[in-house]
Amino acid sequence: MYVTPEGAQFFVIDSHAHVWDARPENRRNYYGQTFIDTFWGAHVAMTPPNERWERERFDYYGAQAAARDLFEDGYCDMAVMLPVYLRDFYFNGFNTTALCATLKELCPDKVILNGRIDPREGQMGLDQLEQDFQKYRLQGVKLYAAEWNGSSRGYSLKDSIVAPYLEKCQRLGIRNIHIHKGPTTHPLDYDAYDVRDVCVVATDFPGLNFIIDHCGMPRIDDFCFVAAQEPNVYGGLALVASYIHARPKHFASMMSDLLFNVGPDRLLFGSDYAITSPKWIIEKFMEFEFDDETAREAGTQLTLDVKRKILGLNAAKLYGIYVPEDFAMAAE
Amino acid sequence: MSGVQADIAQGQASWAESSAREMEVRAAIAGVRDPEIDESVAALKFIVHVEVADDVASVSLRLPTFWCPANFVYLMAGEMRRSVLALPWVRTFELRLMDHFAADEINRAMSENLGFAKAFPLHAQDDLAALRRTFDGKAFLMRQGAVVSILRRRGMIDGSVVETTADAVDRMAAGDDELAAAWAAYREKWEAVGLALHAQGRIVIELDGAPVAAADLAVHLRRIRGVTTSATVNGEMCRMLMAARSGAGCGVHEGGGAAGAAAGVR
Repeated sequence: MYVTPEGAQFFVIDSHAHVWDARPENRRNYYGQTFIDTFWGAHVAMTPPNERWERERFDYYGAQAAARDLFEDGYCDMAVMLPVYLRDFYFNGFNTTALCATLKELCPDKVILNGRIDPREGQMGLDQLEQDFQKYRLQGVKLYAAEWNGSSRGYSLKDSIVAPYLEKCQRLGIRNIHIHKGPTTHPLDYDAYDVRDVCVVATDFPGLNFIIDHCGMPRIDDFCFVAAQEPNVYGGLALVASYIHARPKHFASMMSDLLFNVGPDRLLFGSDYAITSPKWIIEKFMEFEFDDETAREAGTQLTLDVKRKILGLNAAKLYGIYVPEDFAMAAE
Repeated sequence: MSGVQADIAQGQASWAESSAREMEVRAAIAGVRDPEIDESVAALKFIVHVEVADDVASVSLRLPTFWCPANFVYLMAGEMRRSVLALPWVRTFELRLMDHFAADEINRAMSENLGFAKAFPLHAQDDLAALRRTFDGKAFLMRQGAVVSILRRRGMIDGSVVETTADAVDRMAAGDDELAAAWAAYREKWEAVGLALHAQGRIVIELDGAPVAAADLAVHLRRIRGVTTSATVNGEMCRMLMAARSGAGCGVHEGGGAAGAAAGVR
């Protein structure tokens, strides 16, 4: 919960958080090191100096620290865990459902534990999804389309292997599909970050919600186009929001384009924890206002109600979270 | 002159010569652009070292992360290769891509002049023509946006903006350095997207060459604005990660890069 100096209350859901293990003993190979190095680069690049972590802590922080950073210091009432396995890089996986579940055990009412699917795993993966669903009562799953898996460097949502997984999700009642693109997707000759394949699944599965992580960055322009067409496509603001300290003007341009094209009802706050942490992002976001020209371009100012939706109410709708009346819209 | 002195003199001469040649190589590649964000590799500080030994030119390239996309790296490296080999004295171009997941494949491709599909036989089916076209198209629109933005700032109303012809911009650009630079950058991109520039032809057009009507200008510019925002924020991400990778950390920074400066449509 965030409370303004005037006493207005905000229900906060961090829609993009992780608990990972990138300690040297868990790294299978050099890729494991370079992967966490890249995350560390983003942490250093975007975090205010007084909020930066020690490198060792960044490799592994565990559920206790995550609970403190998210729910005690970070204003979050709830957090959505998005697992990414990367077993080709880490012996026990990087940010597995099981590891994320340790945070859920610690804070059962605050953690929305999502699973993860990799459509390249065929029947084995479908069976695993069923087991994970039974065990964790999943409401959502994450797809990391750039994940290496054996000789494969990734997949497109247009690939025929994807639909059976989404059908299974639909059958089980898993409605929230988080999609993350990445640089190494097969085939390499295409634009690996291209988000336009989202149109195919969004149209074929109107009953599912597709949350595009990082609002499709680095293809935020194409994401705006896709989301404007497809009503069941949402923007996850992780990474976009992290620009707010080091590049506030660029944060404003992105938010302006997103609000104009996608609107305030389909954008979800995410900190990308632990690359960046919700505490300072939320504090800066609550202070943030558009200048007049940016507000005109966006079609709206960043009003308290727009912030309310982005910070929590939109995600609460997707995950069926009851939000007490104290946090309701101010009807400004 | 003793033998030793002659050796030293000769050494200094060849050092001076290779140093001059290094400058030539640096100049040749300075204008190569990252196709994804339409900024030069010099502005992005991707070049870490240039070395010349006789007729062999080596360029060391370090990108913001180990995981930067192989296809864009290949496009940039290929441009460098062409630019450097165009120098009359260069016989061999060597790329030393450092700390990158596809370094071996791309370095080899540059030495042996391999197409992209040959360089990545397991992971690519095609060369990069379609990818390049997509990003040439984005650069074309961004550069058009920069010109339009200047025209509007010079007081031109939308009805006149859409009717502006190439020779009208030529006339206006005489004595207007900002417009001249933006116009030159925009002109450069026409051929890449398969369009021909005519003196009497309109310059506010769609990628298929169709002129934009005054009533559609706002929507057209809105789209360009989105493309420009995207390229600009990606360029800033490169800069932030580059600074973090080189250990400089990263302070608050408000300036845009070349794409930001050219953006205009704000």
